[in-house]
Amino acid sequence: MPDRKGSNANEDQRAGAHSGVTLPRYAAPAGLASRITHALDEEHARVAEPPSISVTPTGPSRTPRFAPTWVWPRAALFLVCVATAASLGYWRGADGAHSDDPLVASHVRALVGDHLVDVASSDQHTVKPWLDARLDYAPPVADFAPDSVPLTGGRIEFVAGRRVAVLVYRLRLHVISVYVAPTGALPASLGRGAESLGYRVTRWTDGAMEHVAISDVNAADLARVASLMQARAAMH
Amino acid sequence: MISTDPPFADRFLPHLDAAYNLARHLARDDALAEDIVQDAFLRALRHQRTFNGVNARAWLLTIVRRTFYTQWQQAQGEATHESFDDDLHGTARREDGPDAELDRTLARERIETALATLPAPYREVLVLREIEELSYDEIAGVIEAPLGTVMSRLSRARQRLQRALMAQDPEAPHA
Repeated sequence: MPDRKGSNANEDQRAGAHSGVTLPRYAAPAGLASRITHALDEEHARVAEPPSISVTPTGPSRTPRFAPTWVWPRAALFLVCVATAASLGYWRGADGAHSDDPLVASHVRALVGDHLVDVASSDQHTVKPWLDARLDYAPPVADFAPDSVPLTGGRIEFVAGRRVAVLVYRLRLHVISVYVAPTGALPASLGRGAESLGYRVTRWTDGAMEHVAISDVNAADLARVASLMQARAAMH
Repeated sequence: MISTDPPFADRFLPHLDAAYNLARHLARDDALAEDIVQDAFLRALRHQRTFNGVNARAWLLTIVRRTFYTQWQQAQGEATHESFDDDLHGTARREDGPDAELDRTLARERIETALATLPAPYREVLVLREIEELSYDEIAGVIEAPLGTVMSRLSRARQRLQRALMAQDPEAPHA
């Protein structure tokens, strides 16, 4: 928004007269707009129909009533292009690894909805029995509050046709969802992308259990959380 | 980028700078401000039906502000709340070298530092009024307080800012 900055500077000057000082304006950092657009896309794709559907009808309606003959081949070509674009878009949307890893989608859904945790507790001895009672396996649960990654609770998600435990941690203001399932239960394609729609994803296995951690923290922080959990698993 | 709901993005993304500016002043931290703004946009999208269609910027700023307070309370836990009382403003002194020129950058830093010492309720009215130039009515809407409160708080905030600036450097004129 370079245009706005110039006029804002002028407004600052005028506004400064109020208190005799010009208050500093912070401009949004460069990548923020696109990160937000991605996040909005994700949310929008969740609630609305696929965008490709609305594209097709605009083609023929633009054609003049008494169109010269050369218009028709072009219109046909245009329709072919639209159809191709629509089908490509649809196909891309269906490509799990690329734009909507179901695990990332489920993390985002939990974030923007009111369903971050089913059981809210920082006590691993509360969360673990709660999860165990609702699953056919017993995921390891640990709190890392001393390492400033406190456990905030757990929830159950339905992923790839089965119930999966999700441990929810907080790091500063970021939420980290860690999906824990028996090794082999999650399709290999899930949680593979290092990054999807601004969220970072890391997947590891500690033998019996497979973990996928998803968050918008930076890569180093997410790696640290993963290694904390791996270290804890190695102790048992 | 293309598939985002055009009315929503067209309406609110132009106010990204305003949103970030308020968040940054409230949070006093770059990364935190980004988190707040991103979160606020998602909330705005979810609740866009409650938007009355009149003032997109003020509505977005209301959400930014609420997001800040929600996240802030979560981060602080319930125990510590930055108390909003008259004795709070410290006199944080900048480490100026003896030869420091008061050029534009320094002046800006000086004001930033002074502003950051004010409690959040003062910072937000100053930012909304003097940078975003919202009307008193709009500010009342954003901070969800009566008009009288806006005016008295704004006037106290200005005095407080002046005092903070003077405490930093009694010699310099507050330009």
